[in-house]
Amino acid sequence: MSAYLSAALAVYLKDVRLEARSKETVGAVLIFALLVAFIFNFAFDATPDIVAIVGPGIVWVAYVFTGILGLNRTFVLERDRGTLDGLMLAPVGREAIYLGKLLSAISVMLVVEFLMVPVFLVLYDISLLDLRFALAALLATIGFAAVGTLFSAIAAHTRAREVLLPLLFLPVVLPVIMAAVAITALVLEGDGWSAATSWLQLVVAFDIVFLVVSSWAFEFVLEE
Amino acid sequence: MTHGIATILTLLTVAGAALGAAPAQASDSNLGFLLAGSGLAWAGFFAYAFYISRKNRETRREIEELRDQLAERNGDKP
Amino acid sequence: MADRNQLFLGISGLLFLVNLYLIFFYAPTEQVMGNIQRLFYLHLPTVWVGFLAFFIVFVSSIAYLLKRDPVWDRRAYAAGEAGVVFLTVAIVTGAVWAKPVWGVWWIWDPKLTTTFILWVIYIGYMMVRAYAPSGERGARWAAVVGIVGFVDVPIVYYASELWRSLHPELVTGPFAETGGLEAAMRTTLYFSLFAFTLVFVYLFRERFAQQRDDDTLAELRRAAG
Repeated sequence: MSAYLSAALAVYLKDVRLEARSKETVGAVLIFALLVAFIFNFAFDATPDIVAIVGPGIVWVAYVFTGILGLNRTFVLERDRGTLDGLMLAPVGREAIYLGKLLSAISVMLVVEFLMVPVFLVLYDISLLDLRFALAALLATIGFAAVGTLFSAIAAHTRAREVLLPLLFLPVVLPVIMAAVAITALVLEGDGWSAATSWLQLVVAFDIVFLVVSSWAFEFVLEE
Repeated sequence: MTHGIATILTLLTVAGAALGAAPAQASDSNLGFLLAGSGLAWAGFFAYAFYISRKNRETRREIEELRDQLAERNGDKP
Repeated sequence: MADRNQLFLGISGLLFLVNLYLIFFYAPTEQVMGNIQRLFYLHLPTVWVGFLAFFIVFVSSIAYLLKRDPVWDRRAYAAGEAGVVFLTVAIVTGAVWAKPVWGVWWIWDPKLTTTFILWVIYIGYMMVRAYAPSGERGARWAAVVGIVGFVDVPIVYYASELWRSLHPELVTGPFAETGGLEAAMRTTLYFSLFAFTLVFVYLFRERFAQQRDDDTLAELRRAAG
């Protein structure tokens, strides 16, 4: 058990170190998130009433599309650098690689989500500084990463990787997107916790189901 | 055999179109939609079935040709 | 094998003609919607077959990953392709029915949302096949997508239900009607279901046989040099 965890941690820390040095992924993804948030301002007339209605949607569209960018890079870089073969030759189980990559994906997404909070405050006067939002965002991100890591491994090896990842990913994580938007709307309206419980249960269930299914399926994707 | 398929399917489409147009006795404003809907449905299945049968025919023909080729070649060698 | 499928084609063709008669003549005209309601006998069975086909994709995908026998991969592929056709027809007939009845081509209620998502997942499934490098890897990855997609479908349905309870929309209309069907309508519906399932089986078998032929052809090509 501990060999598995330490292997996963090794994979994760390697990614963290690379990222800390180059800041490529977080940098690019963050710029993209800023652009998305910015462009939405021109998609409609951003009066407070309208923002109250579409605000949660904007937040999560920005997060999801930047999430896809981040997920794309999870395996594409490995593939391009040829380091994926090295990973696979190492005496670690595929589940450890999955867990390590999952943690990397979650980290990138969480960092971007966190950094975008002041942006949304400034551009749209939306305050996401709420513990409930943080919890929802964390759970949603885990769901995205659980599915995304698996599909990214597939898409990275195909000819149409930029198209294939969103095409596979978005329909499957739709329930998480719905839940995230719904909970964010409840938080922004100042409703109590109780309204959000069924959505939170849904996301937790989704996370558990797809963490299990994806880690099982992952070994079939990375076979020789 | 494939002519048989094509004939049957054509008959089906014609029958479908004819029958689809039949309930014109009920003066319905939505008849156009009914015709369009059923027409598109038949067209969809017909197109797919036709696509499969044509691919099948081509593949089988090529298999026959290659088999004949190989048989000839092996026949020359003792 | 091929001849047995011709027999199948004949039988399903015949049943299909009978089905046409039932749909357009035997079934009584619905009081509220009029004749447009007859699309229901095309729409619901194709939705059902679409879901059935994806269930076959799911089972075949698991079987393929566990046993690695190409037969299961061919079954998954054949079911997947036929399923896309059926679901496309289902969505189109649904939209053509919806427009005159509801005034819009589409609404985001749970059943339609789930059907649409399933359709997109299928497309993704077929695209993995198209874009993956080699035969065996493509088959394996498609199997993974088929399994993950299928597991997702009930969750999508539940989420849409939850969403709808927050944004209540029009609940009446075509879907609400299935409870109160007259006997003649029910007969027509079940027969149509049966006829379309047979059409699916025919298309499935044809595509399955064709995949095997493709493999034979590839071998022969290699042998011929």
